[in-house]
Amino acid sequence: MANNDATAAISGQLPIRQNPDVGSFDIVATYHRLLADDPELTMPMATIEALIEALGASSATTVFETMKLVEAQSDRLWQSPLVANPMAVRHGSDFFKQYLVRELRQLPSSTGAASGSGSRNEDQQFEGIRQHLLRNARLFATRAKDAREKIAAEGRYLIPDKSIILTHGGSRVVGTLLGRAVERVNGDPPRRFKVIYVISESRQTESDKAVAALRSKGISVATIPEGGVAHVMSKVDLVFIGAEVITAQGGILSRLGTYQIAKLAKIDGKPCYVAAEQHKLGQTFPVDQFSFNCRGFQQNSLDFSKTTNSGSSGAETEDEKRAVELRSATPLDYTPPDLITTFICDHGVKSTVAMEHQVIDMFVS
Amino acid sequence: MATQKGGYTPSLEKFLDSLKSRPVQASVELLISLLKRRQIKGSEACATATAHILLQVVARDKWTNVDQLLGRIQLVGRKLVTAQPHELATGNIVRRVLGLIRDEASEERNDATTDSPRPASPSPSPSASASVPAPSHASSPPKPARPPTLASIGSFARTQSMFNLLSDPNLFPPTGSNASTPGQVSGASTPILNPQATNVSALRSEVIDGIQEIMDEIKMVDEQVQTYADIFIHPGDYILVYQPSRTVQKFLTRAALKRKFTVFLAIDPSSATSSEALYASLLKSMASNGSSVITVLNAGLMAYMSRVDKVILGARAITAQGGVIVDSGGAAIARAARERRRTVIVLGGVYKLSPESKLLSESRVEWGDPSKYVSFADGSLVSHVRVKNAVSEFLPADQVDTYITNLGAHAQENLHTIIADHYKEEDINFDLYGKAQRISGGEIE
Repeated sequence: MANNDATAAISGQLPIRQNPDVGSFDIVATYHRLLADDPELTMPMATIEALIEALGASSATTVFETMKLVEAQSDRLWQSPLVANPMAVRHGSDFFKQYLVRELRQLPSSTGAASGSGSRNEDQQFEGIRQHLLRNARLFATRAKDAREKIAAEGRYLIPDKSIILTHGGSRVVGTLLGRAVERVNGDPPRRFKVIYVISESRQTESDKAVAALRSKGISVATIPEGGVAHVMSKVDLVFIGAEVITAQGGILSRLGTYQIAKLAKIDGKPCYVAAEQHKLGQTFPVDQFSFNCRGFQQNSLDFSKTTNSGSSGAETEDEKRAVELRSATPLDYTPPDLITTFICDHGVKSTVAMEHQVIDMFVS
Repeated sequence: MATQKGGYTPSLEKFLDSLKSRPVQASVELLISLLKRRQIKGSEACATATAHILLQVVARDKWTNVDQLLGRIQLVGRKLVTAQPHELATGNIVRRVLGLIRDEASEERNDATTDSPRPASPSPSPSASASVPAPSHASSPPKPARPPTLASIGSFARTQSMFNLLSDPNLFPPTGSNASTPGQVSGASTPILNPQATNVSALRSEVIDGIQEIMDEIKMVDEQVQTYADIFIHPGDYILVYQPSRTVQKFLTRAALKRKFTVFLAIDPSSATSSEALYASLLKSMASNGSSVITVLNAGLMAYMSRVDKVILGARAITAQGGVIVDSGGAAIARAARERRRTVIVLGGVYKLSPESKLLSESRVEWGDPSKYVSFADGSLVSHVRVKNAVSEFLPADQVDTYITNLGAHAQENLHTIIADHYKEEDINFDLYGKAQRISGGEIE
């Protein structure tokens, strides 16, 4: 549990900078600023951007220092009580770290000379990578957004003619997918479909916005409350859901309610497609709904109480209390891979097992 | 020459015989019309015909660089696929050939970089996608045995695309579409024309060899699949087969050499009359080895299911997600087997495994000639009733237990790794179907 004061103290005292100082840079604030500035940005992508800004703010030049810096900053970010979904942050930072490691491994000189000059050379080349990252930070965000368009291009082929699609939540990927599907793309005629949108009462404004956005594109939308999913499922042809995080087993973490929709779709034998970018993928292994296997990630979804106004959340410190409060405001649930038909990714339509292999390929090889 | 094609009933053999004597473009047009008229049908025939026609394109068409060749193959491929979108094997072969060309081209290029001095590159590190094996090659003799194939660097290639998110636009082409331009690496020190000319003839023969290998693979499928027969069929088994394809028949025949078992031969009632001749050799060889064959009608299959141990179906095509396109009637059998928890085994060559993800479920069912249900002489019925006859239908992945291909037995879960080994991502994403997808859509070009 590295808290801010402790790390600052260490970095001030020790001659070897374990945590290269980054001046007054605050990664948590940066992360939130990035998310607020650009509503189209995903959480893992915001993490990557924030880490790149941290690189820019630091004076770290060597490989070792940079890796330490990224490590420390990402730890600080995902352990912060102000971050709603620490798992998305971890996926983003793991992806970023892995990218750095791979780049290092590909440096041509790294196999040859093991002398001191070799490592100096390596540091210089690493500086090249660093410069590239700092220079192209915005480009990455644009690419990540382009991924949505690719998903939309893949996903339209999964929509049968005159079908009814059930969806929920404010997923930007699903929104883009449906929006593009009613357009003519490269001579491919628009898809004919209707949408059943599941309105979430606790997020009325978001739901209303999503429905309005769909209707403005000329899609007929029917809305139902969350309790009505099973009731309408017989009319539904397919289910599209978004995801905040894709876990290592090929499951997803998404808005509370996704699990239930996926389960009901499975029972009725309706295909349930997850539309999500591949950078949401990461090495996390949620075991069940109540243990996401991510330290400090607790949502107070079950609060047994005999009185109507309960305040005790079980959290001890102020930070933990804030974290639980924040995470309970935007609750998530875990949808296991067996309920997911396939993923629609920016690299094509992938089975859950393919996603699993991708995680292994990414982080083990 | 093309005028005589009405004179005989065209078939795959005659088409292949006539290939040499006809201009390439005419052959392409002829194949398109044969596919459209279903005079060449079935995945094996379509795959063979496609491989042959692409071989002609590579061997006889004029092309001066890789991009031209790729474009030509894509154009022909698209026409063939559009002619008969239900035959997924056509598209598979086109994609295999495209991948083959890309492989050979990158091999050529690696040779070129080792032969000529490395061009002065403005970037500090060379492009990763092109020169993964480059450092090791630099010291090795000019003609290394073979650069790593896609399979050996498979995981690298697969994840590289993911890390493209953060890649440098100046270093890596993000989609790999530019990666196949050989002009980029030839460097300023060598004249461009000369290496190109040698490359083309070398590349041509390499690609032709590769296509020959694909043809051999298609031919060998039955033999290779049947080597797994005695692993899957045990003595005393009751096996249900439905309108067995040649692959399935050979599989059973092979198993009968070693094992005694019983086959339930299910036949669609409408085609029952012609079945004797079709399956005569199967019946004969089964009987001579002491196994028995019981012919059953499709109607009462659920009643037999309690006796059946395994159901073996021949695939017309296998989709990336594990769904199988089977003869109509096969899906009902698989469903009955699933109800009784019987094993469902699907046989088919790897060339039937399609990476295509843009298939609509309605386009997977092929509708055919309904005359076997209603005689066209029956005017009052024909004019008032709409009769549909499904030729093939789609079997969802969850109703299949095992897939046996020429590479062995696979679970549904690792089909995607086979696809990754056989097809390149840029070819998978290439939209062969174009407008043919949509029912309302017309012809392409």
